Amino acid sequence: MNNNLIKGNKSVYFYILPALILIAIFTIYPIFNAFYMSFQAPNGDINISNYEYVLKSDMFWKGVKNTLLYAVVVTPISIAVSLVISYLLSLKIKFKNTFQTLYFLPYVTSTIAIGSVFAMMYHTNYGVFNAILEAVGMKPIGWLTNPKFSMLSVILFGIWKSLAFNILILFTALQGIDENLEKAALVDHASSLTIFLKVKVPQIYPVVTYLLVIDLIYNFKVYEEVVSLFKGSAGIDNSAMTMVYYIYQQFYTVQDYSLAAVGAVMLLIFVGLLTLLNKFVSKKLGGN
Amino acid sequence: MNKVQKICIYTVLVIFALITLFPFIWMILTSLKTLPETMQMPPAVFPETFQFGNYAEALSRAPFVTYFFNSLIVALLSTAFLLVVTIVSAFGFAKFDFKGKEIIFTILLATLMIPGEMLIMTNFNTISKLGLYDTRVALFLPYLASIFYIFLVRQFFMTIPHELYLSAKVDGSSDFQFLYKILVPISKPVLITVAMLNIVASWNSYLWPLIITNSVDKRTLPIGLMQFTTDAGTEFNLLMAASTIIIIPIIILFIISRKYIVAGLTKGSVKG
Amino acid sequence: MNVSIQNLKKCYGETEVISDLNLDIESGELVSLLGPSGCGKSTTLFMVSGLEEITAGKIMFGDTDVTNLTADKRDIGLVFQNYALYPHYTVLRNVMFPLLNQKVSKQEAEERAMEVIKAVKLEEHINKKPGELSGGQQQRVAIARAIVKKTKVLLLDEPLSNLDAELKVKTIMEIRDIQKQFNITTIFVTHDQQEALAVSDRIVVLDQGIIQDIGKPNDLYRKPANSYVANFIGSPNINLFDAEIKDGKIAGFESLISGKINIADGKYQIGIRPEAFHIDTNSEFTISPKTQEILGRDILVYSTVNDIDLRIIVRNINENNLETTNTFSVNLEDVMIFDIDSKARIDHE
Repeated sequence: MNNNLIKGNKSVYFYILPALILIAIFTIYPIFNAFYMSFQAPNGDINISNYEYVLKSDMFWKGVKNTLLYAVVVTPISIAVSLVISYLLSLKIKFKNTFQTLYFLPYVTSTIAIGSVFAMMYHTNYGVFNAILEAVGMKPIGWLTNPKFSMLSVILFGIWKSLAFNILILFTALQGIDENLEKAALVDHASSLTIFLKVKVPQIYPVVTYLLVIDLIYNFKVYEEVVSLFKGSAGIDNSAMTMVYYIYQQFYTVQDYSLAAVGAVMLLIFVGLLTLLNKFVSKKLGGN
Repeated sequence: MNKVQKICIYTVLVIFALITLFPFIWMILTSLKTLPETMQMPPAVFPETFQFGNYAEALSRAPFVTYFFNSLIVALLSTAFLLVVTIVSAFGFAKFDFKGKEIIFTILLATLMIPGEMLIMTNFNTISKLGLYDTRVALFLPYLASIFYIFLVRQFFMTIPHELYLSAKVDGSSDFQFLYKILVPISKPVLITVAMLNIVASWNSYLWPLIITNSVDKRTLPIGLMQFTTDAGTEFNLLMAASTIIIIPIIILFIISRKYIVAGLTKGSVKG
Repeated sequence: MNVSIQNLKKCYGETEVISDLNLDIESGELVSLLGPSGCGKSTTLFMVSGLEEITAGKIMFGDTDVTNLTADKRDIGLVFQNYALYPHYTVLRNVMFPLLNQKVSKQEAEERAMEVIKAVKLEEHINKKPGELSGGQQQRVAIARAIVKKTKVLLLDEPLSNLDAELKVKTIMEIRDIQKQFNITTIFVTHDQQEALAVSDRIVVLDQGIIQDIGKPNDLYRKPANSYVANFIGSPNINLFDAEIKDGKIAGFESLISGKINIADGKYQIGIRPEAFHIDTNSEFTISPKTQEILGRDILVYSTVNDIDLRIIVRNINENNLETTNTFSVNLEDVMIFDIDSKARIDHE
């Protein structure tokens, strides 16, 4: 039998049609339409006036700046912490499953719901974070009320939320490492730190770089973290404006779909560049 | 590992577990406090007496029962439909050879790179034009065909030996009978994974339901909660009771089905 | 039910994998399709089953032309190398499955399934899932499932390849018993000549989509149609070499065979089976062993004579005696002569 596939059977179109129609209507068409809308001026002309408007908008650039800051800070910190935790988890310890389950809880938790918990904990007057600061003799901070600290608050929340996924992936990768390598290293009297750095890290290096790109892309879309902390706003004085928040603001509040589309195209360009980076990196690593 | 190392490892893991769990614990504790207790500085860790009445109070202050019911029905309905669409198309892509297969599949995979934020404006228009604005169907219709899930299930189907299909043919099954009598029961693990991931995603979904619904009786829990945060202001005990109502069911579901969710994520490695 | 394959042809695009295959199988006969992988034996089997489309030709089951019938309409049973049991069904349900698809009532399906399950001696395991059974047991379930619908033709695609050597022998015998008990015409595809020799009424040797030889196991072994078949059948492989024959004697091996080969002078391909050599103190044909393998009480000796590598089985001998008793002869009728060009065997008696 060739290829182990069913051939010459037209009924296959009946099987794939529902998905194809749905994807055509709700994914493919909207992609092209977003591009089209982004060039549609308020008077109906097709030109780049929307791009000019958005690229001159301080609010948009504030969003870009905050988004970059968020992605560039959250991603490496989250991966570094996850690497340590998942390494410790991969050692011969008890309650492995319990720890794993606990660490993974933030991933399945509604960002909106747990964000409201963080908002409470960040509260300037009654929040537990300020209580801790005061207990160690520091001055309370306006986590959500002082624009200077808005992004810091979003970033801390973001790190807490993003660890779960990274730990899971890195832990799985560490579990998959050939045990014989570690045994060989032990025979050579390598210390456990040496084993971790010289044997294990190189093995999961492709996974780490993969995570780096995936996380960057994901963190570029930071939005729910912001609205849940700031009750639907982007913070005092829009201090926590992000790219996706900007898109939805144009769409939902301002109701200018064309400007929202421009924002979405800009987001696609950033994400596309990261995807290309991923391709480039994984090619360099030998295509795994 | 010597004893000192062991103690260090457990200490780090326990502290990290506490950091992970603290917001959940604090949420539940606060939900059981009186209003003055939530505003104490330094905060009271435990409430004097557990104020379970806060939950009843929260439920009476906003239509959380309706929200809960909507979230539940949307999660279940969307999962049922999504499974059907996913299973049949994964079957098509895994087991059949047909014209244009390569191209179609490549295009589908390429769309995985498109941020969903790009689609919302047009989908809002499409749903409105279909007359589905502010309906429960609108909450999940655009997400019924998920390329990621189709891909995941297709990969699993492809591991099933072709001889099983040939046997079923000789034994008098049609293609469709083979699919639902043989392939689907065998693929239960991956289908449960897809169902669980979709239930979690549907339950926690915020932006699309916010945009596409308007009336209270169509809205879901996260939107209801956001509404409530504005209404309740700093009544943290009630707010936390509402958050608990959203978070706890999904955590229970996760603990029950952990191995399926984990399997899906580590195989597919997707974020979202 | 006799099976007749007429002018069967199969092409994948431009490549022809089966060209004009003709084969008649008697009712109740067990015929093996034997050949190396890629020889077209499985393709032929699948065409008989109706799972693989045929490019040209005709397949008859008795008086019925089944060429255009789908697999489920042909009354065939198919058994695969990997058993292909439905893992989520019990043994009983697996065997009932074809009957339930035929809309046989549940009660009747269960009765008939139990009948064949008893025939393969698995009645203790009816409520187990395939994963709980050994490989041999799984294959017996597959056979039961294949014959349960009063199957006329049983098709076996390398059914023993996943079993270890000991189980192979056992399962071969069981297949043979069941096949005889139910009197099912059977086609057995294998690449392993020992399996084919052990179980078949007749063997069809296939190579590159062409039938090289058809015959009873013993005939194929003694009188193969050509040197390809001679080489394929028998273990260890036959010794094949080109040599000149003059006055009925093989150049370089004159002393090996007493008597004269009745054939015209010329260049031929010579075939002598390793087991055809026997110790003959009267012979002047001596060998000096290069290496040797102990095969139980026999020894397989590798030696080079006149630049030709020979494999020789020496029977009933202690390896230490090989230095003194080292003269051999071969009976005249054990020498095979093949045409140097066509490789067809030439009778010389």
